[in-house]
Amino acid sequence: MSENAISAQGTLIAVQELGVGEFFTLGELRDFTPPPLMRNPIETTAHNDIEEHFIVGIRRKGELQGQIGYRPSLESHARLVEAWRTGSRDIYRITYPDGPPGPDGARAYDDDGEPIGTQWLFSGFVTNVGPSAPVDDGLVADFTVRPTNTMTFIDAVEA
Amino acid sequence: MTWYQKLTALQEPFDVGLDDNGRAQVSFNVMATKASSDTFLQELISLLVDGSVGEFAPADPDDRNIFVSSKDQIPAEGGPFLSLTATGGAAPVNIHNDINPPAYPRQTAQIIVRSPDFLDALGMAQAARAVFELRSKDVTP
Repeated sequence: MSENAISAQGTLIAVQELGVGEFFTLGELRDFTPPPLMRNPIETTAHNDIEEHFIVGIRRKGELQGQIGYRPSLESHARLVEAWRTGSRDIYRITYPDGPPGPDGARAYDDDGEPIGTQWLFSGFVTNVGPSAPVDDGLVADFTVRPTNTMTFIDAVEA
Repeated sequence: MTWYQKLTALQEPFDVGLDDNGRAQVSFNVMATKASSDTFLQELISLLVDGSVGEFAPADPDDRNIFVSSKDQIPAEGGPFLSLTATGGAAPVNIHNDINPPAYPRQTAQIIVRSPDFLDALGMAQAARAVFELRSKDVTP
Protein backbone atom coordinates (compact mmCIF):
# COMPACT_ATOMS: atom_id res chain seq x y z
CA MET A 1 0.00 0.00 0.00
CA SER A 2 1.47 3.33 -0.97
CA GLU A 3 1.51 6.12 1.60
CA ASN A 4 2.24 9.04 -0.75
CA ALA A 5 6.02 9.14 -0.48
CA ILE A 6 7.25 12.68 -1.02
CA SER A 7 9.91 14.32 -3.18
CA ALA A 8 13.12 15.21 -1.36
CA GLN A 9 13.48 18.50 -3.21
CA GLY A 10 12.84 21.40 -0.90
CA THR A 11 14.63 19.92 2.11
CA LEU A 12 16.50 22.88 3.59
CA ILE A 13 19.40 23.51 5.94
CA ALA A 14 19.47 26.62 8.11
CA VAL A 15 22.20 27.68 10.52
CA GLN A 16 22.07 29.73 13.71
CA GLU A 17 25.53 31.01 14.54
CA LEU A 18 26.62 30.08 18.07
CA GLY A 19 22.98 29.27 18.81
CA VAL A 20 22.06 32.95 18.93
CA GLY A 21 19.92 35.13 16.65
CA GLU A 22 18.15 34.29 13.43
CA PHE A 23 18.68 31.21 11.29
CA PHE A 24 20.09 31.78 7.83
CA THR A 25 19.30 29.33 5.05
CA LEU A 26 22.18 27.69 3.24
CA GLY A 27 21.80 28.75 -0.40
CA GLU A 28 22.40 26.82 -3.63
CA LEU A 29 21.90 23.56 -1.77
CA ARG A 30 22.31 20.42 -3.87
CA ASP A 31 22.30 16.79 -2.79
CA PHE A 32 22.91 16.26 0.90
CA THR A 33 22.59 13.59 3.57
CA PRO A 34 21.19 14.49 6.98
CA PRO A 35 22.99 12.93 9.95
CA PRO A 36 22.13 9.23 10.09
CA LEU A 37 20.67 8.22 13.47
CA MET A 38 22.54 5.26 14.87
CA ARG A 39 23.10 3.04 17.90
CA ASN A 40 25.77 0.42 18.27
CA PRO A 41 24.38 -3.09 18.80
CA ILE A 42 25.83 -4.74 21.91
CA GLU A 43 25.63 -8.50 22.01
CA THR A 44 24.40 -9.93 25.29
CA THR A 45 24.03 -13.55 24.27
CA ALA A 46 24.65 -15.90 27.20
CA HIS A 47 26.10 -19.42 27.02
CA ASN A 48 22.72 -20.92 27.77
CA ASP A 49 20.86 -18.94 25.06
CA ILE A 50 19.88 -20.80 21.92
CA GLU A 51 19.71 -17.63 19.83
CA GLU A 52 21.66 -14.36 19.92
CA HIS A 53 20.52 -11.43 22.06
CA PHE A 54 21.33 -7.76 21.71
CA ILE A 55 20.79 -4.47 23.43
CA VAL A 56 21.75 -1.12 21.91
CA GLY A 57 24.17 1.51 23.10
CA ILE A 58 23.78 5.25 23.37
CA ARG A 59 22.22 7.33 20.63
CA ARG A 60 24.79 8.28 17.99
CA LYS A 61 24.67 10.50 14.97
CA GLY A 62 26.66 10.42 11.76
CA GLU A 63 27.78 13.49 9.84
CA LEU A 64 25.72 15.95 7.86
CA GLN A 65 27.28 15.83 4.40
CA GLY A 66 26.29 17.67 1.27
CA GLN A 67 27.15 19.80 -1.71
CA ILE A 68 26.47 23.42 -2.59
CA GLY A 69 26.76 25.26 -5.88
CA TYR A 70 29.63 27.24 -4.42
CA ARG A 71 29.66 31.02 -4.69
CA PRO A 72 32.44 32.17 -2.34
CA SER A 73 31.01 35.67 -1.92
CA LEU A 74 27.48 34.45 -1.09
CA GLU A 75 26.85 35.27 2.57
CA SER A 76 25.64 31.83 3.64
CA HIS A 77 28.65 30.20 1.95
CA ALA A 78 31.12 32.66 3.45
CA ARG A 79 29.59 31.93 6.86
CA LEU A 80 30.19 28.21 6.33
CA VAL A 81 33.88 28.86 5.72
CA GLU A 82 33.97 31.19 8.73
CA ALA A 83 32.48 28.44 10.91
CA TRP A 84 35.27 26.14 9.75
CA ARG A 85 37.91 28.85 10.38
CA THR A 86 36.77 29.66 13.89
CA GLY A 87 35.66 26.18 14.88
CA SER A 88 32.37 27.59 16.11
CA ARG A 89 29.68 25.32 17.43
CA ASP A 90 26.53 26.40 15.62
CA ILE A 91 22.94 25.18 15.54
CA TYR A 92 21.87 23.39 12.38
CA ARG A 93 18.25 22.94 11.40
CA ILE A 94 17.09 20.56 8.71
CA THR A 95 13.51 21.12 7.54
CA TYR A 96 11.93 18.31 5.56
CA PRO A 97 9.37 19.15 2.85
CA ASP A 98 6.48 17.31 4.52
CA GLY A 99 4.49 20.35 5.63
CA PRO A 100 1.19 21.35 4.05
CA PRO A 101 1.51 22.67 0.47
CA GLY A 102 1.70 26.41 -0.01
CA PRO A 103 -0.57 28.51 -2.22
CA ASP A 104 1.59 27.93 -5.33
CA GLY A 105 1.60 24.18 -4.84
CA ALA A 106 5.22 24.31 -3.69
CA ARG A 107 6.03 24.48 0.00
CA ALA A 108 4.44 26.49 2.77
CA TYR A 109 6.17 29.09 4.92
CA ASP A 110 5.08 30.44 8.27
CA ASP A 111 4.53 34.12 9.08
CA ASP A 112 8.24 34.56 9.77
CA GLY A 113 9.14 33.24 6.34
CA GLU A 114 10.41 29.95 7.74
CA PRO A 115 9.60 26.73 5.84
CA ILE A 116 7.01 24.47 7.46
CA GLY A 117 7.92 20.83 7.90
CA THR A 118 9.41 18.28 10.25
CA GLN A 119 12.62 19.64 11.71
CA TRP A 120 15.79 18.13 13.08
CA LEU A 121 17.88 20.49 15.20
CA PHE A 122 21.37 19.82 16.48
CA SER A 123 24.58 21.62 17.24
CA GLY A 124 27.71 20.84 15.30
CA PHE A 125 31.04 21.88 13.87
CA VAL A 126 32.00 22.38 10.23
CA THR A 127 34.78 19.87 9.59
CA ASN A 128 35.09 20.13 5.81
CA VAL A 129 34.50 22.64 3.04
CA GLY A 130 35.90 21.12 -0.12
CA PRO A 131 35.50 23.17 -3.30
CA SER A 132 35.70 21.54 -6.69
CA ALA A 133 36.24 23.39 -9.96
CA PRO A 134 35.55 21.15 -12.96
CA VAL A 135 36.46 23.00 -16.15
CA ASP A 136 33.21 22.07 -17.88
CA ASP A 137 30.72 22.37 -15.06
CA GLY A 138 29.67 24.61 -12.18
CA LEU A 139 31.80 25.49 -9.17
CA VAL A 140 30.68 23.33 -6.27
CA ALA A 141 31.82 22.58 -2.72
CA ASP A 142 31.28 19.54 -0.54
CA PHE A 143 30.71 20.26 3.13
CA THR A 144 30.59 18.21 6.31
CA VAL A 145 29.17 19.04 9.72
CA ARG A 146 29.99 16.89 12.75
CA PRO A 147 26.96 16.93 15.09
CA THR A 148 27.49 16.86 18.82
CA ASN A 149 25.25 16.46 21.84
CA THR A 150 21.50 15.84 21.61
CA MET A 151 19.25 16.21 18.61
CA THR A 152 15.80 17.77 18.82
CA PHE A 153 12.94 16.59 16.65
CA ILE A 154 9.97 18.85 15.90
CA ASP A 155 6.91 17.48 14.12
CA ALA A 156 5.62 19.24 11.02
CA VAL A 157 2.41 20.28 12.76
CA GLU A 158 4.34 21.94 15.59
CA ALA A 159 7.05 23.57 13.47
CA MET B 1 18.29 40.74 -16.42
CA THR B 2 18.87 37.02 -16.42
CA TRP B 3 21.78 35.23 -14.80
CA TYR B 4 23.68 32.95 -17.17
CA GLN B 5 25.86 30.42 -15.40
CA LYS B 6 26.98 29.16 -18.77
CA LEU B 7 26.15 29.68 -22.44
CA THR B 8 28.05 27.55 -24.90
CA ALA B 9 27.92 26.22 -28.44
CA LEU B 10 27.28 22.49 -28.60
CA GLN B 11 29.35 22.20 -31.79
CA GLU B 12 31.19 24.33 -34.31
CA PRO B 13 29.12 25.82 -37.18
CA PHE B 14 28.67 23.26 -39.92
CA ASP B 15 27.19 22.99 -43.44
CA VAL B 16 23.58 21.76 -43.42
CA GLY B 17 22.96 21.99 -47.17
CA LEU B 18 20.95 24.41 -49.30
CA ASP B 19 17.65 26.04 -48.40
CA ASP B 20 14.60 26.11 -50.70
CA ASN B 21 16.08 29.10 -52.51
CA GLY B 22 19.45 27.52 -53.19
CA ARG B 23 21.34 29.40 -50.51
CA ALA B 24 24.07 27.85 -48.39
CA GLN B 25 23.07 27.14 -44.79
CA VAL B 26 25.41 26.92 -41.82
CA SER B 27 24.08 25.87 -38.44
CA PHE B 28 25.02 25.18 -34.84
CA ASN B 29 23.22 24.76 -31.52
CA VAL B 30 23.73 26.47 -28.18
CA MET B 31 22.84 25.44 -24.65
CA ALA B 32 22.34 27.84 -21.74
CA THR B 33 22.39 26.93 -18.07
CA LYS B 34 20.70 30.00 -16.66
CA ALA B 35 18.23 31.46 -14.25
CA SER B 36 14.60 30.95 -15.19
CA SER B 37 13.19 33.54 -17.61
CA ASP B 38 10.55 33.88 -20.31
CA THR B 39 12.89 35.85 -22.55
CA PHE B 40 15.49 33.32 -23.67
CA LEU B 41 15.33 34.19 -27.36
CA GLN B 42 15.27 37.93 -26.65
CA GLU B 43 18.39 37.47 -24.53
CA LEU B 44 20.16 35.69 -27.39
CA ILE B 45 19.09 38.44 -29.80
CA SER B 46 20.47 41.05 -27.46
CA LEU B 47 23.83 39.26 -27.40
CA LEU B 48 23.88 39.13 -31.21
CA VAL B 49 22.99 42.82 -31.57
CA ASP B 50 25.38 43.97 -28.81
CA GLY B 51 28.11 41.85 -30.38
CA SER B 52 27.49 43.51 -33.78
CA VAL B 53 26.69 40.18 -35.38
CA GLY B 54 23.51 41.54 -36.97
CA GLU B 55 20.46 43.76 -36.70
CA PHE B 56 17.09 42.73 -35.32
CA ALA B 57 15.11 45.98 -35.23
CA PRO B 58 17.06 48.51 -37.29
CA ALA B 59 15.69 51.91 -38.35
CA ASP B 60 15.51 50.66 -41.92
CA PRO B 61 13.65 47.31 -41.92
CA ASP B 62 15.63 46.25 -44.99
CA ASP B 63 18.76 46.14 -42.82
CA ARG B 64 17.30 43.45 -40.62
CA ASN B 65 19.24 40.20 -40.78
CA ILE B 66 18.26 38.40 -37.56
CA PHE B 67 15.00 36.44 -37.52
CA VAL B 68 13.37 34.53 -34.73
CA SER B 69 11.21 31.38 -34.69
CA SER B 70 9.76 29.44 -37.60
CA LYS B 71 7.01 32.05 -37.97
CA ASP B 72 9.36 34.92 -38.86
CA GLN B 73 9.52 35.56 -42.63
CA ILE B 74 13.08 35.29 -43.89
CA PRO B 75 13.62 37.12 -47.23
CA ALA B 76 13.64 34.69 -50.15
CA GLU B 77 16.76 36.25 -51.63
CA GLY B 78 20.03 37.67 -50.36
CA GLY B 79 21.77 37.23 -47.06
CA PRO B 80 23.42 36.43 -44.84
CA PHE B 81 20.36 36.04 -42.64
CA LEU B 82 20.52 34.48 -39.21
CA SER B 83 17.52 32.65 -37.77
CA LEU B 84 17.14 31.61 -34.18
CA THR B 85 14.80 28.86 -32.99
CA ALA B 86 14.33 27.58 -29.44
CA THR B 87 14.66 23.79 -29.35
CA GLY B 88 13.51 22.90 -25.87
CA GLY B 89 16.64 21.93 -24.02
CA ALA B 90 17.23 19.48 -21.22
CA ALA B 91 15.90 18.99 -17.70
CA PRO B 92 16.96 21.80 -15.35
CA VAL B 93 19.73 21.71 -12.78
CA ASN B 94 17.80 21.71 -9.52
CA ILE B 95 18.65 22.92 -6.05
CA HIS B 96 16.68 22.45 -2.85
CA ASN B 97 16.14 26.18 -2.43
CA ASP B 98 14.04 26.70 -5.57
CA ILE B 99 11.37 24.37 -6.88
CA ASN B 100 9.07 26.33 -9.14
CA PRO B 101 10.42 27.83 -11.30
CA PRO B 102 13.49 25.60 -11.36
CA ALA B 103 16.75 27.25 -10.37
CA TYR B 104 18.72 26.58 -13.55
CA PRO B 105 16.80 25.60 -16.68
CA ARG B 106 19.00 24.31 -19.49
CA GLN B 107 17.60 25.79 -22.66
CA THR B 108 18.81 25.17 -26.19
CA ALA B 109 18.46 27.01 -29.48
CA GLN B 110 19.39 26.31 -33.08
CA ILE B 111 21.09 28.98 -35.17
CA ILE B 112 20.94 28.77 -38.97
CA VAL B 113 22.64 31.31 -41.22
CA ARG B 114 21.61 31.48 -44.89
CA SER B 115 23.50 33.23 -47.65
CA PRO B 116 24.07 32.88 -51.38
CA ASP B 117 27.77 32.75 -50.47
CA PHE B 118 28.81 29.88 -48.21
CA LEU B 119 31.73 31.78 -46.69
CA ASP B 120 29.47 34.71 -45.81
CA ALA B 121 27.11 32.32 -44.04
CA LEU B 122 30.02 30.64 -42.26
CA GLY B 123 31.48 34.00 -41.22
CA MET B 124 28.22 35.20 -39.66
CA ALA B 125 27.72 31.85 -37.93
CA GLN B 126 31.23 32.02 -36.48
CA ALA B 127 30.62 35.58 -35.26
CA ALA B 128 27.42 34.40 -33.57
CA ARG B 129 29.20 31.40 -32.09
CA ALA B 130 31.79 33.77 -30.57
CA VAL B 131 29.19 35.87 -28.72
CA PHE B 132 27.40 32.76 -27.46
CA GLU B 133 30.24 31.77 -25.15
CA LEU B 134 29.51 33.19 -21.70
CA ARG B 135 30.29 32.29 -18.09
CA SER B 136 28.62 33.69 -14.96
CA LYS B 137 27.10 36.84 -16.44
CA ASP B 138 23.84 38.77 -16.43
CA VAL B 139 22.19 39.16 -19.83
CA THR B 140 19.61 41.85 -20.49
CA PRO B 141 16.95 40.94 -23.07
